[in-house]
Amino acid sequence: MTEHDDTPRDPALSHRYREACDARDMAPPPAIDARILAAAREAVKPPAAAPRVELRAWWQRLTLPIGVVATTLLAVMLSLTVQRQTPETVAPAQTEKPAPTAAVAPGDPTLQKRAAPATTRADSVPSIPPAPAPAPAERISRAAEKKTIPEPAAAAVASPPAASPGAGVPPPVSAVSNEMPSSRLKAEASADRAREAEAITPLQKAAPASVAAPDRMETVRGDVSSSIPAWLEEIRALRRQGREEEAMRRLAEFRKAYPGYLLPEDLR
Amino acid sequence: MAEDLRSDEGLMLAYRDGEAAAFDVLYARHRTRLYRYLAHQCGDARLAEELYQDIWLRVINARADYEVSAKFTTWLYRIAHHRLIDHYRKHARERLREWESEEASIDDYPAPASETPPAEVERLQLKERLASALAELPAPQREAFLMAEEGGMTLEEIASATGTGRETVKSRLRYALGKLRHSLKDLL
Repeated sequence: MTEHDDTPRDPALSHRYREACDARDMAPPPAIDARILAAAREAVKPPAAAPRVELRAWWQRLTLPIGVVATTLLAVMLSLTVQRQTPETVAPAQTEKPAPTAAVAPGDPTLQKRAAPATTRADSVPSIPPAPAPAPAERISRAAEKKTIPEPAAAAVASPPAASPGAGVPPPVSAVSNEMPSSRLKAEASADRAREAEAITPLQKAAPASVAAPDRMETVRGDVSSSIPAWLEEIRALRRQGREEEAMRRLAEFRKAYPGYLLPEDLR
Repeated sequence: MAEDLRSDEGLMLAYRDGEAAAFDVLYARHRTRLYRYLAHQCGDARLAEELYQDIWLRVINARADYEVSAKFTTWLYRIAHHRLIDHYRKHARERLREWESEEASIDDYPAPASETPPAEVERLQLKERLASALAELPAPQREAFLMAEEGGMTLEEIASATGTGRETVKSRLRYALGKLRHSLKDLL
């Protein structure tokens, strides 16, 4: 600024320029002046005096709590939903593996061989109804089989449908299995046939599994994991006894009851 | 009302500190000159109004960061220069075409009063001639001339406001004066 001002100027041109640019028609409109001055005043107003600023602050204050509440609510809802769904989705994976082997006597290599493919396939079938943990009665019967029961009888006894429906509460499986003769199986089969002959309720007609054994119907509803292997084992037992016709009938019933179930190779 | 004798910079600092009246004084001092600078620069009254308002709003919004590092005029015209550059970047082609049409730019300004005495007619003719002579100048030369005329700025201040070298500004200003003198020689 202290430097000598050598800005090129032309006083005559400047004079004519000023003459031409009269303030009357070369000035901003009053409306714009008013707008700018109002904005300038608004800008330096204290925040408390400006209602708009107050309104914004109110919204800003609410934004964070609302966000936090919404997020928490969402998280809680999600975790509750997951918790509710977990037993349905996880249980089959945990319980299906032991289910088929439970009906097989550990000491019997032929039964183990037969049951092995069923186990692996059952794992790979996603459409199988959810199966809860194996019934304790099944485990008990397995222990009993080890002791005394011959192979065919043991397999048959392990199935809960063997219990008579008309006899009220059936005796404990372990007790029955200890003194299970092959005649018992015959008695069962004849009881099944008798039940078939009886008049069946419409509901039972609709459910094929219940045609032969009402007890089995309950088992299918309540404890699917124990009924499937037991049912299959019953069919095998019938085959081993040479009762092919009956075995085929039971197999057909099974297929109706569990259309999505992948049968073991020996039963296909 | 007594005239406020504070400098532009003093007024701006006072406004920064919350004195709204300081801005009124500052605005009154620069409103016409800045508007004329913009009107001549862009050649469109409506656009000039839009830019003018925008520039003053920028001044208002930048008040908190204002420090006296240069003259207020330099700061103000630097803001104006940048706003114009932004505008040119967005609408360069359109503006060039508009600038080529002198009639359109002159017609954009308000019409003269119904009574047109000889002196007024002469002034309007001078205004038209000057506007067209300015429109013929390249934008940087026109800008240098208008900053010197309207802002009363020195070479250094123009160089600072436009972000160019002092010698470049000097050269632009010389060319601008020479061309204008040539265009308006019968009036000088």
